[in-house]
Amino acid sequence: MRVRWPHMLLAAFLTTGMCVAATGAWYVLRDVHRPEARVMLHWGLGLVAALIPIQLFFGHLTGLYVLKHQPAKFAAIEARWKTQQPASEVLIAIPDEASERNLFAIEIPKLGSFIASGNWTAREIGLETFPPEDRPPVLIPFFGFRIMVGMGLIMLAVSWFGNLLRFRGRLETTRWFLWGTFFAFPTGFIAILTGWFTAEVGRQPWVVYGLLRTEDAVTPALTTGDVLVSLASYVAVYAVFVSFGVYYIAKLLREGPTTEAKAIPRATGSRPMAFADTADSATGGRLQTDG
Amino acid sequence: MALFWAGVLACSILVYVLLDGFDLGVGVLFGTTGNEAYRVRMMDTIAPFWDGNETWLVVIGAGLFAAFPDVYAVFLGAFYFPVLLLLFGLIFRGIAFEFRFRSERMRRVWDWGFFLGSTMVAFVQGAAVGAMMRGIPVADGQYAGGPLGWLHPFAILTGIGLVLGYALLGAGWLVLKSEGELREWAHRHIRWLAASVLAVLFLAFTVTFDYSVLARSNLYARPWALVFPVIGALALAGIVLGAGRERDGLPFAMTALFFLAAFLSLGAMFWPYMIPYSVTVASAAAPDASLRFLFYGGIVVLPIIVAYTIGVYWVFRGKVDRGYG
Repeated sequence: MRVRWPHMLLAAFLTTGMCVAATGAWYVLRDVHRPEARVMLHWGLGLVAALIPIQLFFGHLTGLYVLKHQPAKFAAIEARWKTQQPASEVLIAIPDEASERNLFAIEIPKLGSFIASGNWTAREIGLETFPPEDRPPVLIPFFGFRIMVGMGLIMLAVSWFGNLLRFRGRLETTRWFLWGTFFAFPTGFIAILTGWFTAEVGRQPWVVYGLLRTEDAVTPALTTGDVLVSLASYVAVYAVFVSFGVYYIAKLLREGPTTEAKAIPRATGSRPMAFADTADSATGGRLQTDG
Repeated sequence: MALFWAGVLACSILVYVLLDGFDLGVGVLFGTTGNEAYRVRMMDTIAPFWDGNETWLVVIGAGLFAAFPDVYAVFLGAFYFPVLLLLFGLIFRGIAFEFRFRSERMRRVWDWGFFLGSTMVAFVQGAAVGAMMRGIPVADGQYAGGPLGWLHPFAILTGIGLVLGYALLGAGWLVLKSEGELREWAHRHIRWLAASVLAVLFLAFTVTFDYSVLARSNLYARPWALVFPVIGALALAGIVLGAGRERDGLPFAMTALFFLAAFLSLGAMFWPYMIPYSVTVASAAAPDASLRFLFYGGIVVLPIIVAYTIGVYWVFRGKVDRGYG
């Protein structure tokens, strides 16, 4: 908890930072809301630039934690089928679960030992150490982890390059970079989701690691049909309200900060902030006649 | 330790029912008027509170999971689809707070979601209580019935009873928090709501007394407990007879008293069972070491929740209409 909690907390800050920076970049590109856009862009990129190295460090600590407590997950993330000494690091490959080997692998010798144990010659265990029924699926943790790290590297590149431009005073005029920042807005979300897939798929077949198997934890009265119906309903309900949520958020972002600035002085007393920004449109200006 | 956690959960359930009860009830009443001015005002009276109120549902869920895992397992197994409906109801009424003020064409949809979602949540909670009073099949500490085992006329009766009961709490809340037309409007609803809650609950109580040997023998063994249903009935009858026309806080207070009495009556009928007829407090409790560990978490977190709950009600006290600057 001491490493995974900060890892998640930093992820949330980074996601927010990227969204704020991307929105600022979008306003600058459209040449609207310039004072706010400037603050959003500079502080968003500044926050990400400061936090991303800390995040990479905590990510590494999380990896060591996984290696210690969930070694099969670690081996699956690394797509390390055989125990190796020294172990190489698979950068990218297509793991073939049927034949227990990697296709089209690009590997760096000895780096795997260094990442896991801090020296170049350590012995690192592979999936063969675990009986087949105790191994997690390999494809999802392997690619999930690499996509997550890739997103982190994009955030690093965008935020550090953005701050370089800022020190040279060219941040708000380098249009290609502003477009890049704008399109980098989902990096945080993608990193969080793929990291989550890595953690949860990688822990299989255990729901409580080493103690309780997922298949033994299922409610006995539950049928496959029940699960299918409920899962389909969740997907449908979430699809509906998330689509509308995204639509309304996009609408808010398009309108920009001006309506809020006007409405917030009335956000006192019994009217909470969440409603203040749209009080006018919601009630057709009725509130003014009330007050 | 098991008793301590049973007490914490009992208090949490009571607090949840009273607090989320009124905002769910406002949601139910929301569907009975098409007047946009009323609707905006109704939303305003609960907007600062509703999500905080639902924290208590999380406290109950987490508390059951940690302190009484067997009850948690049986309950979620037995009420798999009702809990699904509960969550959907909570989702749709929750998003209505944000979405309705951002939309024009779709506002009617979110309003329906708010009304139906609130009603669904109230109904499902009432039905779950009813189904447990009837008894649910349990074998080896696991639910042993079908997915629709909870659907029984008695459960439907208690479900409707709770929808009406929450609506009554909601109407009392509106009287307390609003002025002018809306307050009058809420007053008009209180009387028939109180009368129908009284009727439904009387029916449910009689049926249970007739059906449940456990409830009957418990009440014979604890005759003092009969004072609870009597207090509850008197509180409701007082509202029906027009008490509280002068004091705005009275209808809400009387309804809260009624809920307290109904809750204690249930306790008197079924204690020490947590799932009637099968799972008792002692048999469901987690090992003592777990309970003790939880105790230290609980004594830190629970006072914080209580403090901010009190804080938010203090900050947003008084009539909602006076808050506009």
